[in-house]
Amino acid sequence: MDLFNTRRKLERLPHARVAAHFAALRHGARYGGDRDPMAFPRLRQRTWVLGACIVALGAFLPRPAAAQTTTANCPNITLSVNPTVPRFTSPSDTPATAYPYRPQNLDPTGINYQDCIDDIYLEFTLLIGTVACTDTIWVWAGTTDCTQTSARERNSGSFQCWPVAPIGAFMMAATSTGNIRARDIVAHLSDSASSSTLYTPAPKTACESQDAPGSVGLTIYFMAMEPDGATVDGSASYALDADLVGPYAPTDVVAGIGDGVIIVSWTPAVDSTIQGFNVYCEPFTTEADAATTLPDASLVCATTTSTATTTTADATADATTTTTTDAGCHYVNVLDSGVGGASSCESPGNILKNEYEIGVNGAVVDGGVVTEADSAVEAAVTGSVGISNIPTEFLCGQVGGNTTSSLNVTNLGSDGSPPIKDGTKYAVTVAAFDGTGNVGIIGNLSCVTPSKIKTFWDVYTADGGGGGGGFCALQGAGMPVSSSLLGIGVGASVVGLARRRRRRR
Amino acid sequence: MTLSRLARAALVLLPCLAASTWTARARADDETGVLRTGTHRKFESPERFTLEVRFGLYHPRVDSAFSNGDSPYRDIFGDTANFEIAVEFDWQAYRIPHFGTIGPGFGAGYTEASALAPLVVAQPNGNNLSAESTSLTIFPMYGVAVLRADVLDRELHIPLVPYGKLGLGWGLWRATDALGTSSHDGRLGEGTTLGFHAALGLAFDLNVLDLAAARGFDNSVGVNHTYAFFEAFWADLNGFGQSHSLNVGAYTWSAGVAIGF
Repeated sequence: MDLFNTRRKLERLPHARVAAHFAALRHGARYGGDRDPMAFPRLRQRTWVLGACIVALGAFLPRPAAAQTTTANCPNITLSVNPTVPRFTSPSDTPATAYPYRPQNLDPTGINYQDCIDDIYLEFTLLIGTVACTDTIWVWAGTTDCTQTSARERNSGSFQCWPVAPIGAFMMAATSTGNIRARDIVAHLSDSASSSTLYTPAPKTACESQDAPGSVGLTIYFMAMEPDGATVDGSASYALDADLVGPYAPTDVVAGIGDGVIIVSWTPAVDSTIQGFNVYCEPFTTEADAATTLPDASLVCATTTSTATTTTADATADATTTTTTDAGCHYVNVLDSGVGGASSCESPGNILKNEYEIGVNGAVVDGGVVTEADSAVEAAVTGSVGISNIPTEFLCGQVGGNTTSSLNVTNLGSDGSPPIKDGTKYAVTVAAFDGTGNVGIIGNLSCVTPSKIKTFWDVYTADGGGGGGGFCALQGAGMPVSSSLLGIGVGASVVGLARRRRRRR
Repeated sequence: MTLSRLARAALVLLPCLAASTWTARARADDETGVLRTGTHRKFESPERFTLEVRFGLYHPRVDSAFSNGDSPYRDIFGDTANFEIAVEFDWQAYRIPHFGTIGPGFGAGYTEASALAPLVVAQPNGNNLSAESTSLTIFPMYGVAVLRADVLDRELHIPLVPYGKLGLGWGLWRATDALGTSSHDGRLGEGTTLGFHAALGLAFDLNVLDLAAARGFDNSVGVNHTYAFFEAFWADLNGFGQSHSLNVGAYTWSAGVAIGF
């Protein structure tokens, strides 16, 4: 085959001398004539030299295209994404690391703040139609069509698309499975700074990349890219919503006195992202204080500039603590608690607060009460939106609705938890949650001590009223029903007489 | 006092309105010649039933059962009457010639009194009210014989129909708080109280305001008459005089609209 090809190549060579020699071979009489007796030996020698050159040249010529197994690219490649995207807490993707989906009403396939903080992985499966090519799979996310080269360039001044997985995370195979970190997907929701077009794992602070409530529609693009890094031969996409900030806080939270119940009311913020409200209760008891679990302080605006506050009186410390402001900072439990009722109200275990004082070493110190000793090193941060991560053990009620404004709380925590007790003081507040389960910052704090009340039924029975006992008890409890039966009998008699008279007619 | 004033006003206004429309009706009949009462009645559909929708004030006579001066209802809910909405369905089973109809009727209503419950021990700042509501919900119902004297309307062309009702009444009631049905020493705050029910009322036949529309209403959906009515009623739901029952009856009034079909 090689010799045959060499011959073909030779025949196509334009060299004039080669053509002349072949012409001489075909017309040998001209060389073998009487005019040149050495013509034939010279011709044979030249032919050998020429043949050797041709063989050497053929060895270096490229092979014909039909003989290759891959091409440089594959313009007709097809990709599709399996719509089922399991979630895992680590890239190992085992049942033990499966990350549960949220309830259906809380956008289970979206990414919320907690997904980001938990650093979950989304497992995507690609189905690739043509694999015998040299393209590679690039995975980018963005708010626009990332298959366009301009959307992947950072010279426009704003982020449109960003890489969310390293090249090679998805192999060129008929079925290719790979993981993408939730943090990488949401890393640039709101920022506009330029960065590398190369994949860089997003840090924890990426979870603070949003500064206003509301979900952002993102699309993940899986692109078969030619080696030039610009030509997309085929792509598939997967859309999801991301929301890293909770709704605005309700105002005018009031915890009212009930008998074994706390009557909580509030004014909802005008915020279309609100899906419902969480009510938090913290009893003023030693047991509750011991169970205190402070929220993660590392996300309390670690990079913000805070204003140190120097105070000398504990009682006025919280009221005078002021602060700061960094619009880009993502606050966790930030916003000073208010005053409930006629007296000052503070979270006894320092749980129901939007404000955490931070010591010089960055650690959360004693929070709600600023003492003279540590006041010089404390600072506070405030903001209008953010995330509450109050432990669920203090969640004493939840209600849906965008404009719901009240709830009766009868128990601490979830079902089976201790009931609200008369005579025990409780700190109460409310936070709204959005459609992806983000819980916004809490409203003002209100303190209440449930107490005995006098209902109408209490007063009625205390005054000697004997009615009631159930709908089947026609008269007073324990009383004879003779008079009732008499009344019923009279009525029945009237009806019977009427029917009898009519029949006669 | 308010009840009596309203009743007197209605008694005066309804006849005046009837008199003013009577003349107009007669004139209209003369002009067209096709809407005379007799002509209309000749083609009207049978009238067998009456449906009433009524609104009124309701102040249950709970405290009347306490002869010692206690007033649990007033102590909690005050003296203000509550709004009541009710419906009634009557069967005009028998027509009395040159008088009217008589037949059974059934009515059911809803009313509720609600207030913030007082604290057993007032707060240091003097506030003695809790934030928890306490309520008394009543469903007054009755089965009555209804006598409607429509002879004035049908034969004398006076669009007024006096009527009376008499029968048995019963009230389903429930006392509630923030946790649901109230309970005291194990006794649930819910029950049923029987009694008598009587009413007197006057209905104004609205057909006289637009005879053509009335006839069309009859032809299209079978409604013969449309009334506006005012009624005084006595719901004596006291367990037929028993002292140990929650009296959820009321002596009050209601007004509304009714259709005969």
